[in-house]
Amino acid sequence: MTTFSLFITSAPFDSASAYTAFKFAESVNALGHQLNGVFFYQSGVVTANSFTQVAADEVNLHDKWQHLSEQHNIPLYVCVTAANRRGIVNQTDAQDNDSEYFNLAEPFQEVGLGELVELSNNSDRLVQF
Amino acid sequence: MKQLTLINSSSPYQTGNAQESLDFVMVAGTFGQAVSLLFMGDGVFQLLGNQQGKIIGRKTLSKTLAALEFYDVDDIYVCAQSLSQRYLNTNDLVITAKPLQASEIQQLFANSDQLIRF
Repeated sequence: MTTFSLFITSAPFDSASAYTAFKFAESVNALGHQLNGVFFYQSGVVTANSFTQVAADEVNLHDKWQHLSEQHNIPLYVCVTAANRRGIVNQTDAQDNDSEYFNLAEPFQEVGLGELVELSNNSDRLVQF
Repeated sequence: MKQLTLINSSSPYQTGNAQESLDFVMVAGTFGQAVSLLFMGDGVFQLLGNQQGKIIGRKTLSKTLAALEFYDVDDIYVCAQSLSQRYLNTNDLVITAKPLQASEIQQLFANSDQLIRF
């Protein structure tokens, strides 16, 4: 068994890599390996936007990651700096900025980049998409 | 602990890659992570002096580069071929970066546990 972590820097929809990353995560579980966590950085943070709405015949990666995370207890980490500069904010950030709206919620969680360093050190492989 | 190598191959301001790579390398340094930084392809333009990112609404990266030594990021490399292809040499660079030949880059990658590309 190998332990994996994923480092997703590609935006959902705009990049094919975002969907490939999700299929990779499904395969890690299906093949009996362990996925320690997923870290969203750069445009990858857009995946965490819970306002994501797609047409009925298209893929909603936000929902897919949420389900996979809940099914297999996989933490979904989002870099707070990268997210905030792209308009992805959690409830606390929103309140701090006197905004009633927020679009980042569990199972996605805002963390610092140090979490990525930890994730890399605690997994056999970190795979970037 | 893993040996981490970051590959910066994007031009400095067209995308956010350069800035977000530097954000990460500083955090990795703060955490005491063994990290090397390699500039190649158009990424070598990140190393040029006299950058004025402000004019195009970006944070000037060369100032952050100069601060890397304070984050214990000392293993900084540049692809020699990428430099010469762009008519640049190490005297044009704002920080000290060790030029590497292709075979040395291969060795750097072979000695790394983890590669991350920006």
